[in-house]
Amino acid sequence: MSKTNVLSRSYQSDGPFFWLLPLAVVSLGVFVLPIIQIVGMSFTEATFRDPSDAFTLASYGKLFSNPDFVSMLVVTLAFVVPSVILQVILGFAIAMFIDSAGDRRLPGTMIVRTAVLAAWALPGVVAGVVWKMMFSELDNGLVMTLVRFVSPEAQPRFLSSSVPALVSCVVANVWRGTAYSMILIYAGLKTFPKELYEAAVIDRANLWQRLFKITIPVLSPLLLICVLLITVQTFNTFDLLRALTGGGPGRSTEVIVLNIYRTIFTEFDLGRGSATAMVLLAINILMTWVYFRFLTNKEE
Amino acid sequence: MSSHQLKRHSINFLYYLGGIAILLFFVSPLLWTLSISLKTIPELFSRQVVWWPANPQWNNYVAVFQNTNIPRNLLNSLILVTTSIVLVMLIAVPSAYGLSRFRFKSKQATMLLILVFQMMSPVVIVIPLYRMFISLGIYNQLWSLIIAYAASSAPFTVWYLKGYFETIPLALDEAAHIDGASRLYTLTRVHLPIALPGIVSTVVLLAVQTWSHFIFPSILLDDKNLYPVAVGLLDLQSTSEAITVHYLAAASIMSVLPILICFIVFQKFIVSALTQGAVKG
Amino acid sequence: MKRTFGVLVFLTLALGLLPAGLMAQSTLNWVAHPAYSLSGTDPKRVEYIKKNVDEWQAANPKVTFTANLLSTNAAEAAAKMMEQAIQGRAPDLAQLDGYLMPGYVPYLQPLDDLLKKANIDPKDFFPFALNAVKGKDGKVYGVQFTTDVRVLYYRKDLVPTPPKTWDDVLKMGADLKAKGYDAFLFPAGRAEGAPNTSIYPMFWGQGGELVDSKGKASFAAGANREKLINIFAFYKKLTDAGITPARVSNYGNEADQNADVATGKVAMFLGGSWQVAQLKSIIGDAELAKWGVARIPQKAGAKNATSAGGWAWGIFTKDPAKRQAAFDLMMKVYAGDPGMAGWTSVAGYLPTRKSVYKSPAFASSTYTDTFKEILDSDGNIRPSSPEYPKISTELQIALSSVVSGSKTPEQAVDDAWKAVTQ
Repeated sequence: MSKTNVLSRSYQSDGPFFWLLPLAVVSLGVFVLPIIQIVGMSFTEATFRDPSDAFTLASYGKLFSNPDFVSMLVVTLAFVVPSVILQVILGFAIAMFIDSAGDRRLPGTMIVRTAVLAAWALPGVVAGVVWKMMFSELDNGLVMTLVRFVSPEAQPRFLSSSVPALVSCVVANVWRGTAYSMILIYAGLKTFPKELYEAAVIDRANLWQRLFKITIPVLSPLLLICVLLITVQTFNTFDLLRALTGGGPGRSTEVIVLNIYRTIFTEFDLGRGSATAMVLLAINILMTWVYFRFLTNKEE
Repeated sequence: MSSHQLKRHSINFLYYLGGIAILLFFVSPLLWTLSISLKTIPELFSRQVVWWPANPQWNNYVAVFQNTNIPRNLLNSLILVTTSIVLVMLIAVPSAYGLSRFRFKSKQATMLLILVFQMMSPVVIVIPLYRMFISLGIYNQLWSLIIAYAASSAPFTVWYLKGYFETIPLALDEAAHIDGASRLYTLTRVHLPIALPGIVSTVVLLAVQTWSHFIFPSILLDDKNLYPVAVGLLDLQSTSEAITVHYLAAASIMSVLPILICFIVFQKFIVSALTQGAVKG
Repeated sequence: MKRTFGVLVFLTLALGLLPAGLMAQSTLNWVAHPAYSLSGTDPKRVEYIKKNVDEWQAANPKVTFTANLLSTNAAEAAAKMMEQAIQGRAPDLAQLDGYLMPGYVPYLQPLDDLLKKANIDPKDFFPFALNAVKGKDGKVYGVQFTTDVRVLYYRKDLVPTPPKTWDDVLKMGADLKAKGYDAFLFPAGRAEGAPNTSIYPMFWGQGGELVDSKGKASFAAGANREKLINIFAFYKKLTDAGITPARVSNYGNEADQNADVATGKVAMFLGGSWQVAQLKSIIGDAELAKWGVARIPQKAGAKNATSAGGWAWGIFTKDPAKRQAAFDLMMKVYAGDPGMAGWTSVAGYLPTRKSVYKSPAFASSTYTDTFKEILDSDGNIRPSSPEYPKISTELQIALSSVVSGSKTPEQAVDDAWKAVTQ
């Protein structure tokens, strides 16, 4: 009896405080305090061996004057932009394919769908390991054998030259990430008002016209969400690249996350690693803000 | 055969062609890994491509099972995934309810903050987290890692479930309230059953995400006996010390198998849950 | 009735636990590299360790041990171990990278008394192996139990006399390349093996210094810059001419070349002494017999030099009983007279004590004498300066960039210098 009373009073009090409390506590511990600390560390020259905490801007100075800072940003973009475009296009295509194959009740649709999802269920590290085996540059490598099938004399380089290495990373990432956009878009297609197509069929619109005049415009809010989510995910991709190239050759696939990891864990430089982490944090926040604006605009 | 039928058959043929292409792209890396995992050392290093080992070495799997930490890593992964999902639900369900059922001033700001946490790279926070865990004396424990997992999945889960709860009509709450039901009762007896598909799809997404967590465990744990499989198997990557490519491949296959089996067994259920849940993405 | 049963159960349980309590078990926390542990992937090694650990356990019934593993990524393993040592959470017995020992010395226990009791003369160690573990106070803080040396491997049927200078390599390489061979391989990727095998021997050969007397980076200061550029320019010539395939820019460790060697198309490569054992299991005795080893080719006029490495054991625990038990364990399995002979034989490393080479228990290979000779006369170890991890990383990146063709030798050296010293 008394219990009900307490609850019903809180019902009236109209404050979400208690409901949000658990989330607030864990977020404070795992996000807020660490962020405060990392901001603090970025203004020091601390290392693992020497935890100095004197305030200095030196770490930022080193970061921005480093000859490789700009190239790191370029590499990151060169990895993220094609990854996102390909994941969305491929995800869209496969979603359309599975949706319409399902409508036609073709057997085997389920197998294709499971195959795409399987790649996504693979831990990123494993995906990296798997593609490293695929891209072996020895004569007995799988992709090598396929290339030689077409052009027997070719000496392709998949991981040992800057641009091909980046392409290989994008391929591996698209392989793993496509399932995610596929699911999002597939869901959109499932709830798609199909009567719009029927009108189009009467209008004798062809396949491309249907795609560009109906499907894409109707799905465009969903596609935008998809682009934003995948962009953030791709910016944060770490385990796959670590296992696939480790950032090499040279620094040609060293995206910002790998750079932070290397600075902290192989060079033991906490100060500069934290300063670089702040750059990533800024990118993350910016992307989130765009996403948020978009979501709230949509609601209004 | 009528021209209409002919057209239908040829279109179906194109579909099969497309399906096979997609299948090849997505499955061949896994099959290649399976093939490598069954090779002998000379086959691994043979001059010509060995599509499939002449005499599949299932013993490689036995060796991985007996000599490495992989079985324990798999068990750790299982523990981490299941317990952290339970924990994150305990944290996220009330919050999602709170955010979907209350109007308050800083709601927009709260939502934005949650989203920022969701989008943040673990690399940014893991070092301070490691030091904090050490100063609290809770480093190197599975349970503290479970808390970190749960906390890091919480923002995503809250955001996802909130969208789901918002599709439940307020009229149901009002009816329950008039009947004298408390909020807790309404949440557990009215909202949760309706939101079940959303919860299932969240669980699937969380399971896939947490199964592949890498940065948190590799930094927050010193004890290799506690590593989840995604971290543990990297130790089989060839070092200067031994030839382990085939074991690495075998461990990779073993690490995917549990999730893959779940996917195949619950295929229909998962896909419908995912697609229903994803709309609110 | 029920209650008596409960009491009985309690008593049995209590009595069962009693002996364990009386024995006052202490637990030894032992951390090793996976390939040096009971969880290795090589059955021969595991069998050897298990047998010896069991014997040690029988002699030390009061001590149990918990085994743990280092990360196979050496840099990460070192970062974590250092963090643990500083915070006083280091394991009781730990496997440490030999050249990094000076960094750990402040946290390690001296072992002079135990070595003396075990009848081991510090002078029996190679000088570099002893210097690495010696503190400023002259005490011995660890036992380096394996070593290795970087050499040139060459196919005797293709290369009648091994090249001594870079010019020899270029000349022979061009001929072999014309015949369709991958003439000359070396690790040039992003891991410790690359600079250690492909840069330092040639750098030291020219008299270069990685760090100055204060431990500050000096690898591209003054005349050192030219010496480093020479090396990169040599490698660039090799890759431009196709004598070296570009894929080596992904080979961070010496062993990454094993797969190439197995194809039978490789004529020469720079590698580590431990690869003999690995190659044996990959290509077999008959193929291995085609290979010879020699000193790493140097710039004309430079002296011979190479890089030696290896692992050491260090004891962190202050508890006297545990310190003794840990010492006994490492001696039994890895570092005592039969221990070192046994472990280096089964695993294919080189002993760090001269007397062990003469031991009948040491299974020497046809290459051992050459390795020992090169080690004795040309062996250098990497500096353990706090700046070293950064130097190594930047040199890995520089080498990998030059070989993959994304930077010129000058650019690569200057960028690395700027990244380390700014």
